[in-house]
Amino acid sequence: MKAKKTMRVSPHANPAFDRDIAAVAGVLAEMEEEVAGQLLAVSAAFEEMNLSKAWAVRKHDAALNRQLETLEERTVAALARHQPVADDLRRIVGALKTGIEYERMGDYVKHFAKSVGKFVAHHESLEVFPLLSQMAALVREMFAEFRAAKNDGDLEKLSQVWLFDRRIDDACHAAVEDAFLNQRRGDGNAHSLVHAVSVAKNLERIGDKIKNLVEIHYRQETGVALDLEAD
Amino acid sequence: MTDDKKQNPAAVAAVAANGIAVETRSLSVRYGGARALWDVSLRVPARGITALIGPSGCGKTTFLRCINRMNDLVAGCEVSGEVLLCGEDIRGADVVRLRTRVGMVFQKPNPFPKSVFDNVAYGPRIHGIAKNKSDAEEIVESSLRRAGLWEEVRDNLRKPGTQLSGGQQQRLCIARAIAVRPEVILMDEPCSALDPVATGRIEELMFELRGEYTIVIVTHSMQQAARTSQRTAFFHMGRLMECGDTEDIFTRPQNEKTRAYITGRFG
Repeated sequence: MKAKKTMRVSPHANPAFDRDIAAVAGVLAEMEEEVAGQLLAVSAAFEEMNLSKAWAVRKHDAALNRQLETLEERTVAALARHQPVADDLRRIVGALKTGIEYERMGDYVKHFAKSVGKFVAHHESLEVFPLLSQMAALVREMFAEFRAAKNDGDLEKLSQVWLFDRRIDDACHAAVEDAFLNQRRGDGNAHSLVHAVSVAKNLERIGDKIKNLVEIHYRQETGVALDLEAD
Repeated sequence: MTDDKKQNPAAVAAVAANGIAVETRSLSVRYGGARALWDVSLRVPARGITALIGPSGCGKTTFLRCINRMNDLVAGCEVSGEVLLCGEDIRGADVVRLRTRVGMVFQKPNPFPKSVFDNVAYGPRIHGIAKNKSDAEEIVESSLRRAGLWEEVRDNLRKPGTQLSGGQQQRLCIARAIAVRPEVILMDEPCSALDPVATGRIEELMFELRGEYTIVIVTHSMQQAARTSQRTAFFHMGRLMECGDTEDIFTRPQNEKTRAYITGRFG
């Protein structure tokens, strides 16, 4: 890959533009922090099979929805006021797309938390649970690496995060397979097994969303699409 | 109608061969001791809109004025390099003839203190394009129609051009420019004195004319350049920094100065 670091950004002649972009970036940073916190919280709720923690995760998802609304307002205002072009335009559009991905990630976390509630209700402890824990840890690691690569402005590292998703896909296949084996053995009730598969799929989708975030950020910084399929 | 547009067959052939209406080669301009343009080599495709952008004093208007030799009139101005119009070097060209081939629309609408009709008919008459009253009437109507002004002035053709609104006056100036059937129309910030509605009309008119004429526009509005042109050239301190398809310039500029300028990081 040729471009290693993201571009240097100098201030605009009109400081109001920088203030509006900073306002957009501020909401995005809050959403990013929120998603990281929710991922950690739902993992803890799952590990501890703690209903109140799972409930808190579900309740807290509304915060991400509100943040997305604020982000939309601020991006629209920046577009209308400054009519940005080139990398500015990509940043504003990228911010909106990123916010939508964060909001969806929040939804998947919420679904995970709902499943934790079901596991607790059925007093279930399935053989697949350790695999799901590992998967959740992988997702948190992928997200943390995405944040680090983005903050360092390191495009190569960002590409590695994109490739990380394969590990999550593999983990998902393993977890789903395990859940089906559990079912064939008559281990655990069907309802809980369905929820275990659902958790695996939700985590796998969060991995996809992080992959999307990588692509959005790469295009935002370089103006071209990240294409690693051929690699 | 009289004899049709008297285009130089060699020029027509040159455009047909490479699609280039205007080409400059190492064009440099000095005003006294100050150098305004440095070795600008640029090719302007025929029948399309090319926007020249850049901060004040970057040389874009100087460049524009070289295309119809308006700088000839400026005391102390020295021009070197070549300007080719449809493949022909304009240095030895007859200036009057050159300016029928290269029309110009200025920042501020400047209709003659004559009637709407005479504003448009004046050029064709003095250049012998309109040989009689009927020719003149036909040219005036077709030019005003193409400038999108006919419906608004058809019942007031004897009214002074200066009594029209600012936007109408600018469209009258465009009608005046196209009445002599130029190959190239130069526009030097044609909308800077107009409100957004009048600006929209002019931009729409440019869009309609681009299939027939080569339009070169100087503009300080990035959005106008992005909206109207197919090609954009960015000038900075008398040098051509970057020229390319407008979409590329406004989405993925290659030159750091272009990026900084269009995103408003200097001006």
